Amino acid sequence: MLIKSAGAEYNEQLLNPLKNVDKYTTNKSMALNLGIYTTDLSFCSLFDQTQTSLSYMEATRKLAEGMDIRDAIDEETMIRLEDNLNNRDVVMDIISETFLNSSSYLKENERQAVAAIVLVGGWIEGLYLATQLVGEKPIEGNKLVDRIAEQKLSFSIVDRMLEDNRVNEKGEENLDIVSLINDLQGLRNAYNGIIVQTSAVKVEADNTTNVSTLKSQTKITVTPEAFTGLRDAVNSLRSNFIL
Amino acid sequence: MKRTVPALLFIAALFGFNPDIHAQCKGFAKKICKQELTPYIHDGNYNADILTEGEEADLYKTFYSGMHYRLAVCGAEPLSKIEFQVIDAYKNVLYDNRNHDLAMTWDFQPESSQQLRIVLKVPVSNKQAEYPLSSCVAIMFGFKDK
Repeated sequence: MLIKSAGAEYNEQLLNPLKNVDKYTTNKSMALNLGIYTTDLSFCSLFDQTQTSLSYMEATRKLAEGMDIRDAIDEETMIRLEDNLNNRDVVMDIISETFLNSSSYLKENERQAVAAIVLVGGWIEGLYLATQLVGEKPIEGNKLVDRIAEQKLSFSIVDRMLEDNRVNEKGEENLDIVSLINDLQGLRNAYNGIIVQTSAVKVEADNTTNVSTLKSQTKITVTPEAFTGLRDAVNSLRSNFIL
Repeated sequence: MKRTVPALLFIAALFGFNPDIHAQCKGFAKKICKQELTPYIHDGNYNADILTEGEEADLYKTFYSGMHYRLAVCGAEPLSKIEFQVIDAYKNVLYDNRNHDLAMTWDFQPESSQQLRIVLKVPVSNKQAEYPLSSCVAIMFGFKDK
């Protein structure tokens, strides 16, 4: 939604090709690409690409089965999706539910770390799509570039989540999480070249509308070099993920 | 006891302990708490956990300029209404529902993008019980473009 509201257009060439699905055999690659395919699925649904959405749902189902996430995406889900392909709101709802089911299934079975890897895959794919959609357009005053820069704020949440999952309750290190933290170092370095400064917030309540305005300022500094560095880092990371 | 729930762009982040309880928690988030977001559009994330009286949980989330948001916090029976605060990066409390009759929702629009922290607390009820009460607590977000 952020991508669309920032004025981006649909480009199917950017999606992780469906034929790649059989390449993912390790726990880490399956989890990362479950996240990646789901973001791709959300992206095509957002632009009403109904047939492609269905194909991507099928790919996510295949990966979910490979990860033994039974029932997360069952036959009934696929039928509901097919029946509602022309209703974007329902399609987005089905995708959300699919993630609710997958994520909660993993966590119920003490596979929180895997759920975290799925989240990272989805987040990186969102960054990849956004950075690619900027294309050769100037970065100054570009709303999409600002949105990408602001993801620096979310990166700290990603880092915190991975750290929380680095060691399990038995004190054993999760090697997939450790390697993912290392994988993200290039992106971390690239984001260090982008400055996002936020001021303290002052709340202005409107008693008529009951909507409060959070008054503050964010200063984003992105040079063309820093943006290119970020795009390259995301591209390289995502290429490693999709194999 | 405090738990941290990471919230991301696309996907739910749910904690799970007892599968049977968790299934109820999922249903509560989907069927009950989601309704509190109307007329805002649900952002697709279901954040829910089983909490016990006296327990706290916090969640970090990035909110973007140009959007209107509704934050909804719901507690299932037999818990009392849930307390919540919204805090900025400078640790200023922007909203505390204890000052608003423990309202379940808060609508706001950030002038600039912000990472905010939402802290939930399950108050200890006056109900006579042998053990502290536990149930599902959900926090969900809706949005609309300006």
